[in-house]
Amino acid sequence: MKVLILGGNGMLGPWVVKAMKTRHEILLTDINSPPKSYKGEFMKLSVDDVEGVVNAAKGMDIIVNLSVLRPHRRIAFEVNTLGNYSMMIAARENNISKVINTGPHFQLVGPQYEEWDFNLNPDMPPQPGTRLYALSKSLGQEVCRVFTEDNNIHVITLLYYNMKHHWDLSGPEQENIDYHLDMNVPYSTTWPDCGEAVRCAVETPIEKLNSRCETFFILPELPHKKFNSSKTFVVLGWKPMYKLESLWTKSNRKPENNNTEAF
Amino acid sequence: MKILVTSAKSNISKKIIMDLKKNHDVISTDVSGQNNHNFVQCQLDELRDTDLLLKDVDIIINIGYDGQSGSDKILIDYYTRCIYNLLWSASENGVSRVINISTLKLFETCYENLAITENWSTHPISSDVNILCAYLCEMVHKEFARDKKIKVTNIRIGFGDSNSTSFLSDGDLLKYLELIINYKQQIKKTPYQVPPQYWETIHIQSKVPNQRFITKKFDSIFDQFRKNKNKE
Repeated sequence: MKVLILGGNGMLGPWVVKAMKTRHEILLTDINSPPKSYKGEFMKLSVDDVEGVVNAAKGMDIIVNLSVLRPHRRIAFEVNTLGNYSMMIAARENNISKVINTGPHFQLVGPQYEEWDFNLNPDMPPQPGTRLYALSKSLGQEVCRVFTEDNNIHVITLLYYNMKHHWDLSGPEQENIDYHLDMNVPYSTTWPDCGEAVRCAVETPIEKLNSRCETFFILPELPHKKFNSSKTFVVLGWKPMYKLESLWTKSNRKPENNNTEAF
Repeated sequence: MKILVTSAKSNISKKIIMDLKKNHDVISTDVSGQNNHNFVQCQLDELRDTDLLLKDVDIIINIGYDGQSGSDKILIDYYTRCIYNLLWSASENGVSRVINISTLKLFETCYENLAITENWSTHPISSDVNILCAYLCEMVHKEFARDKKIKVTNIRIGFGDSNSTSFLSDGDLLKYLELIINYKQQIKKTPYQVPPQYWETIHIQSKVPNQRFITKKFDSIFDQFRKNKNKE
């Protein structure tokens, strides 16, 4: 299939390209150029450029949106909210019936859910709260949902929490892992599995979807049952390679400082 | 009571401002344009200008539908980012309440014979960016209310001309708005603790033959208000 990727040169983009490049024809777009090692088609494009996104989507079968912006208020709304509007206009104008959107868990599950409840599932009404990143992405998601109500467009939204390398559980937001606390966040997923989830979504037939707007949490099955991702396995057929057990079991913890007194 | 009205250049704001000035200290704002209506020009950016605009303001009346004009990009930016900035500053500067004036057009595509109340889910459409923006604007307000940063009364007002079953006359709008400004939410006393409500939606339209939208919630507020006035 011909796949237009928006915001494809961020952190997730390379993993999505890796998962799909031998199976699909990709047009990668971003405001930043890809590394020289990228051999595919590339177009410089800002996701909030409605006309530019409409033109880039000509002749495409699917649009995948990986663009995000977190801290800056003006750009966050331009990318996270208006960007989705551009994408949906492009889908409508080019008769593209399938769109893959991505975002953080809290565009749906804000603190009012996460701090109170368990078995959180992706079919709940959104409660993002007022955090800039969460709310601006959630507004973008609502734009997608409204477009699916009155157009023949299917939107699959994949929600991530933490993304990690299976060989390095630290991340950009946390240099040292505190092994003597519970998992710092309810779920983490490896980069290759995150990329695979997009490929699964791209290849899932629309007939398997319950509605024209479906959301999925991208996490392996975890014993604490905070989030429920069973729908992801059944509908998308996504099977994560890694469960990152060392984040949520004692036996696999091997702190570098040998401080094992908690066990 | 000091009231800030947004989208000062719009027709609806002009009517509201003129009427409210009879009983309140009113200031108004808009993001751009010829300032011949004595409004404060403010871009509603993440800047001190927005904080200054809200100094000593008690209530914001936000025009959540049809207050702005421009491209889709301009409208979406205004009704999401600018409103986010406004409400963020409001919550930081002690504004006690926001009245968001939205529209019953959010139900326009529903069948006329449905008995639509405030408890029904809205039906925004993608083909009219103004309606889409009204929906997004409501959502921004709701999240500020959900996080208990500010109390929001979201009123959806009727539309159409005087022959329309959804009609709201200017006179009724102004009369009803004054009531809503002065109305204090009645917290039901039950054996269970009910926290103060931060989010409330009220539908208003004029009493016309074959009235399209159910306005019993507003009617009960109106009755309560009259009873309280009589007691005084």
